Amino acid sequence: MATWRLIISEGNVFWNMAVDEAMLLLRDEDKIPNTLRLYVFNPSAVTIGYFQRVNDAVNTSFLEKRNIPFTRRITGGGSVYHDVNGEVTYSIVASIRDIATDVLKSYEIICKGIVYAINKFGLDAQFVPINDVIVGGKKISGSAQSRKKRALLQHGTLMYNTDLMTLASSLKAPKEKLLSHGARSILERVTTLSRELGRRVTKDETIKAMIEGFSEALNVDFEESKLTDEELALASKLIEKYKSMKWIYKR
Amino acid sequence: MRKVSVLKKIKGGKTVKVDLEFDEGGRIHNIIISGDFFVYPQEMLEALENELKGCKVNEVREVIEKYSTKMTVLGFTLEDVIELIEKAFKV
Repeated sequence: MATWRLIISEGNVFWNMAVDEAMLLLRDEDKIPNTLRLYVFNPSAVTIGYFQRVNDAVNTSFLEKRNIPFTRRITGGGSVYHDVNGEVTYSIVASIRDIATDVLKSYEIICKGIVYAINKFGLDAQFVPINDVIVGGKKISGSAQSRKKRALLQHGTLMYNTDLMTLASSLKAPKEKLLSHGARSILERVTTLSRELGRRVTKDETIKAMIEGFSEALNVDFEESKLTDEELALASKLIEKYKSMKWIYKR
Repeated sequence: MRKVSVLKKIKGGKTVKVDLEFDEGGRIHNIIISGDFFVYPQEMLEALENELKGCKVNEVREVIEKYSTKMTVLGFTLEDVIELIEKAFKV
C-alpha cells in the first residue's frame, strides 16, 4: 500500500487557497508527494468557483455586514460557505495517473472517500455525479477539481455542523437551480452530520473519519507531516493574488 | 451598446449564464460565459470567449463547435451555449 503525506491545518481563506494552488503547482513538477490536506477556514469564509461571477454567486452585502471574507478559487463549481465551527475541507493533490485520467472517474474515486467517511458515522451516503455527496437526498459535501499537465488538485467540503442559516444568507442560488433540485430553499437541500445524527458532531471526529475514508477510497496509508519550505514560500507569493480585487472580480 | 443576459438551468443542477454586449452592427462586442460548471483545460473557456468577440449570429455555431475537441465541459454542453447566444441575439 502506498503512503501519502497528510497535513492537518487551519488558516484564512486567502492562505488556504494559496496553499492548495502551491501544492498543485509543486506536485505537477514532482517536487512534493501525493498529499491529503485537511483544513478549516478560520475565520469562516466563502469561496466561489473559477467560472462564477461574484454577484451571481454570493450576497456581498451580507458578507460585508458579517465581515465574512471571500475569494475566487482556481477550481470550477459553485460558491461555498466554509464555517469555522462546522465544516472541514479536504484537498487532494496527486499525480493524475495515480487517480484516473478520466475527469468524471477521478471525481468519483476521490468523492468515495467522503462517502466512506460519512459511513463511519452509521449514515448512508451517495456520490451524485459530477461532484456532490448527499445524505437522505440532501447535499452534505461538494468538490471541485483543477488539473495541470501531470497533477490534479481536488478540494471539497464535509459539513459536520455548519450554520445553515448563515450559509443560506451568504450564497446566492438562482431560482431555476432550486427548482431543479426540487426544493424551495438552500435549507431544504443541504444538511450536516450533526443534523442527520441528532447530536453535536465534533471537528476531530470528522477529521478522523475523513482520514479513514480517504485511506479506503484511495487504498493508501497516511503519514502526518508538514508543508515544505518551498510550498510555504510559493503560497506566500500566491496569497497576494487571492486577496486582490483583480482576481476576485475576474469574471 | 446593447446588453443582454441569458440563463439556462441545466438538468443535473448546474447553471450557465451568458452576459453579452452587442455593437451597433449586431456583432458580439463582449461575452462572459459563467456558472458553477467545470471546463478542462480551464483557460479554453476564455479563449473561446475571445474568439466569439466580433462574431455575428450566423458565425457563432462554427466557432463554438471548433472547441468541442479542444476542451471537456462538465455540467453543461456547448450546444447549451450556442442555444443561449442565439437566444440573446433575438432579445
